[in-house]
Amino acid sequence: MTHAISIDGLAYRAGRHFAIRDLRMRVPNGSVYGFLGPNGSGKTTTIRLLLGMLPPADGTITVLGHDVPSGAHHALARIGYVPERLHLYPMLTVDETLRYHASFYARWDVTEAERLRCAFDLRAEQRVGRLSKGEAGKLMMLLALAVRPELLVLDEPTDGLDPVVRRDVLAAVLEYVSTHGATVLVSSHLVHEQERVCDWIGVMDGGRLVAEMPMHAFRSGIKRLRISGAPLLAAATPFGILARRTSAGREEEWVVRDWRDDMTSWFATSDAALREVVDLDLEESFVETLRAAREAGGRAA
Amino acid sequence: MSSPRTLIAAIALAAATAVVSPLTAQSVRPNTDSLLDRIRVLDSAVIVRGRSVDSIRRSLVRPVPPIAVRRGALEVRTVAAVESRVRVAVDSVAGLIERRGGPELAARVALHAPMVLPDSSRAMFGMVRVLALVSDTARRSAPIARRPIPATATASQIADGLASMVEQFALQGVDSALAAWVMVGRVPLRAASATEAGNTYIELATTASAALRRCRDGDAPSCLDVLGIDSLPGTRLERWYAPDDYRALLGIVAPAREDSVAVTAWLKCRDDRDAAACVTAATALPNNRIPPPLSPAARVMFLHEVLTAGGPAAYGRLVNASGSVRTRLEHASREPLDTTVRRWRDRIERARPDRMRLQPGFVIASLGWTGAFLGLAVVRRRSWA
Amino acid sequence: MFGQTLYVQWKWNRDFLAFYTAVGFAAPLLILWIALPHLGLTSARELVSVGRVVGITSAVIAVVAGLTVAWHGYGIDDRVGHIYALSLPITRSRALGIRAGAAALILTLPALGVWVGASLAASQVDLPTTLHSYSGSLASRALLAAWLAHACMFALRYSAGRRAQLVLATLVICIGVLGFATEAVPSARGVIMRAGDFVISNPGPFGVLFGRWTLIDV
Repeated sequence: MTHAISIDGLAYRAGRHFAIRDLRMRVPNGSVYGFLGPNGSGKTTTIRLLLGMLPPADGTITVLGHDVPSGAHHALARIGYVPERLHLYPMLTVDETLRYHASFYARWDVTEAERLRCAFDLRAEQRVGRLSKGEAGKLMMLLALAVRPELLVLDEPTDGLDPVVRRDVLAAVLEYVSTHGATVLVSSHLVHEQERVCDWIGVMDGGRLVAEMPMHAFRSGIKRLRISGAPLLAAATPFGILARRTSAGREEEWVVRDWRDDMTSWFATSDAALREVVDLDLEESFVETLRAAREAGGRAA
Repeated sequence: MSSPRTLIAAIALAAATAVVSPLTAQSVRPNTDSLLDRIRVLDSAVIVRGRSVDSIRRSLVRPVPPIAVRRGALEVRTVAAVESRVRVAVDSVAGLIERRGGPELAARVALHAPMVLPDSSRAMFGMVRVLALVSDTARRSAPIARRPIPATATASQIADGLASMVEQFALQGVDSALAAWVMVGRVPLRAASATEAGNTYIELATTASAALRRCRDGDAPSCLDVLGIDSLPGTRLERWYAPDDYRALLGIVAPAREDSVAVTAWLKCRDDRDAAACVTAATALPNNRIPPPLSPAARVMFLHEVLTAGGPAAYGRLVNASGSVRTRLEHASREPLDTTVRRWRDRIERARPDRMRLQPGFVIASLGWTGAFLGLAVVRRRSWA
Repeated sequence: MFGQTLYVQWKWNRDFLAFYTAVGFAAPLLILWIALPHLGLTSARELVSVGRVVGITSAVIAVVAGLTVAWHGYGIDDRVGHIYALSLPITRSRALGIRAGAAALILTLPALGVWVGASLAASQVDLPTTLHSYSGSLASRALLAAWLAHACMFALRYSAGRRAQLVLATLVICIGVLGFATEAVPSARGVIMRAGDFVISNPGPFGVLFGRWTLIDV
């Protein structure tokens, strides 16, 4: 499988209290990669690093086959980017912004841009500085899609938007992806939204990527098990144990990943007895993954 | 000649050495004539002794530099550290004396023995090293001021200093009439620099004197008048300034404080630009307070033209001639002064400074620096943010 | 790309440019056309002095225009955190080159204003035969000065970012130390003075800012 984005050993430091250390990330071609993480986990910083906006302290970044940041301008010509906040020049009108933006992209599709402008109900003569939050979000998405990108990088694209606008924006993205097969990297802390559109998930916390797997594996592979008679030290298990917690009596609660249904047979050979397998939704899976990662980080420290 | 106190002290000194001096062996004549003769003899002895005493006194204060650099009439004393530069400078200045001043100037220069020697000058913290150009080794207080130049001065700069000194030597001992006309205390052996000539052009071009404007337009008598060589009839005010020029004139000279009427008119002229008041104030000015419309620098340029026209002997003819300034200048130049005036005017005209034109080098340098600063903006390893 | 950048720079700076162009046009007229008859300045020296006032005014307008366009032009990206500029598919050097070129073009407007205003004003004054007006030279020098001022501020804003203040402070301290050293270290005085002369005269970096700024001269 080739990757639209490939990051190895990435390191970056911002100030005294935040750092990205040894980040490894793979975004497969044609995938919709959900980049999850709490606020301040480093999602936006990682995005800016892979777009060449920030210089890495160490590591390698390859985007659409181009080394970043040395070849970032080549990669950016094939990327549609929507940042988390309005980044356009406020004194320009919508029409002037489209013309300015188009002058930098050879792939700019004038017809598509006009179609999207009408679909998003944006008036050409309206000044960008006077657009509402929803209109600004739609304009940024329009600019990203009209360049016919091979890679869409969306940083909290629907944050703060009302449900109607959010639906319009996501619909435009999905329509583009389905017709052009583009790769999408979408960063968000809205877990349920990611669950609907993404087929890969990467979870970021404290400057580290704590989980990266297909969405189905993330959704179905993380379970909560109710165990009785669990030994102090568990023997090698076919599944990963994210957390062990003591519950009522001598029972324990295990949060596990990479679970498959046939793994119940392992308990037959061990001293522990499996009482119940509880399905977790994406949000619970996300929280447990983060919690486990933080606990592991605390033990390591 | 020696002062009375010096004479008395010297007589006492001479008397003390009279035993070994053949002069003192003469017997004193009892009558008045012989007493006068005696005083004359002793005075001559005092002069000789005075020079010796001065040398002794000066050698105690500052030693005379050991190295004598001589070329023609010019002898300069210096030290080994600057000898090579001084030699080059002396060659240059000696040539100037020969070309521009002839034997007369050479004789005057030979009366002096200037020094070039390392010295120090006070700075904010400590002293700064300089080269002192002193006009004479033989006099304790020289009439020409000591002139410091940077210690790293080139031979050319030392030559420039020596040439200035020689130009001042050239005017020493000259009669007061000529010295007063020259005004600047030196005879211009060297041509005016481009800047000096340009300044003279600007002076003529922006003059507030009707006479100078006439001179600029070709009227030779007006030129001679403003140069102070000849006088047209009338007062200075009538000769040099038209009524339109009075306000500018009153900007640089005011009437006597006691003349309240004139002062009131002067104020009205200056503040209200009242033409009638300007006339009143200007006509109240005493004749000797009306300033000449032409600066000394222009006069010096004219004198240089005179000396150039007359060749190396022109200087000798100028200082030795008698008569009016006009007569002496014509005698020196060996041509009618009108011709000299014309040439002087042409030289000034050619010296018009071209200050406003943007030279290609200037534009290229400016654009180059602009590009260099812009280049600094591009050289940056980190991002913009 | 250049055309669009030029348009954006123009739209962002047009208020300032309009002001400076208007002032550049009006200043010579006001000074010469109105002041001369009103104050009765007629002598050649007074005309040269007034011409110098026009020249220095033009110099100030040009330098301030250059500094403002650079400072304000940087602000258009600073306001949005530079994200838009950084996300465009263009190298940093090319982007800055295009911006500088666009700014150089729009800075011709104040110089044009000076040229037209100075020419018009000088044509209304009776100059003596020995004096001439130099509206073209004045406007050209104003343009070079505007470009230089713009380049200096452009370099400060785009090269050092938040460290611009540190660079500026270091420069000021260096100038102060050099000035003190001129007296405190007499042996270095010659070198320091020559360096200072080079800086403010042709072909030094700031030679265009110093020198003869005048509309009327011999």
